[in-house]
Amino acid sequence: MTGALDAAALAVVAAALVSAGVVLVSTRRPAAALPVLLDLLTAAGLLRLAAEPSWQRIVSAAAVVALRHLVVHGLRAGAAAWSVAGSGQSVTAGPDLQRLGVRARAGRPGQVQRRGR
Amino acid sequence: MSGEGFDAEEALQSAVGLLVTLVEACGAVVIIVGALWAFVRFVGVGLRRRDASAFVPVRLVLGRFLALGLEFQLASDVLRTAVAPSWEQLGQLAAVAAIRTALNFFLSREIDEERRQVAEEEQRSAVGSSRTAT
Repeated sequence: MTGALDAAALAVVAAALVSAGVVLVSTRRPAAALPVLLDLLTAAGLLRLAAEPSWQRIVSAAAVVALRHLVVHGLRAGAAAWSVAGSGQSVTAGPDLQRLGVRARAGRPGQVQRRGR
Repeated sequence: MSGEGFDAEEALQSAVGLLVTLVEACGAVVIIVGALWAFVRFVGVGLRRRDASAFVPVRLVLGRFLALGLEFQLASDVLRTAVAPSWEQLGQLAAVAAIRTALNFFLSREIDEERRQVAEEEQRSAVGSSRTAT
């Protein structure tokens, strides 16, 4: 069963890379593609943990989970910080901010609008 | 230890081992199906729509699949504690169970949070469309 699970985990890693690439090309926003990549990498890590627990696999799975948690919270905190900044003063959204999907609207305190097409 | 006791212990170990394999395979199947489904949906949605919010429902469903797979894997961890012969194996088991429990907790929290955000956005868009209609 270990070999099959390892192969499945490898396939899920490939699916993660392809999915993240498709999302990145489609939305042109790394902040949208990163959670997709990390979600599927987490699935691959869980499959590897199910295969044959060893300290190396445990540490790598824990690292992916911690990284995923860090990135998700970092993105949320960043978006919240931009929205707070937008409420206090007029902030012009630069390319980096637009990539994060947050647009601070001058003259409309506290409002954040998601960028969509 | 008597011969009968040894046999019973061995039989118990093999029965638990079989159960562990079965339950863990169920968890793996759930995770693989979820990952494949999410992959197909991510590519499909990515080719049709360019809105980042369109991927959120797919991530929510993938999160549910992962949480369900984790429940199976945690069940197999609990079964494994019945037969954990060495401290090394017990330590690994504890680490794996801790990772799975933490991930399950964070996944459930994220699913709730994202679901709330999706509901808020739907409500906002419904209010906006009703305003433009009037």
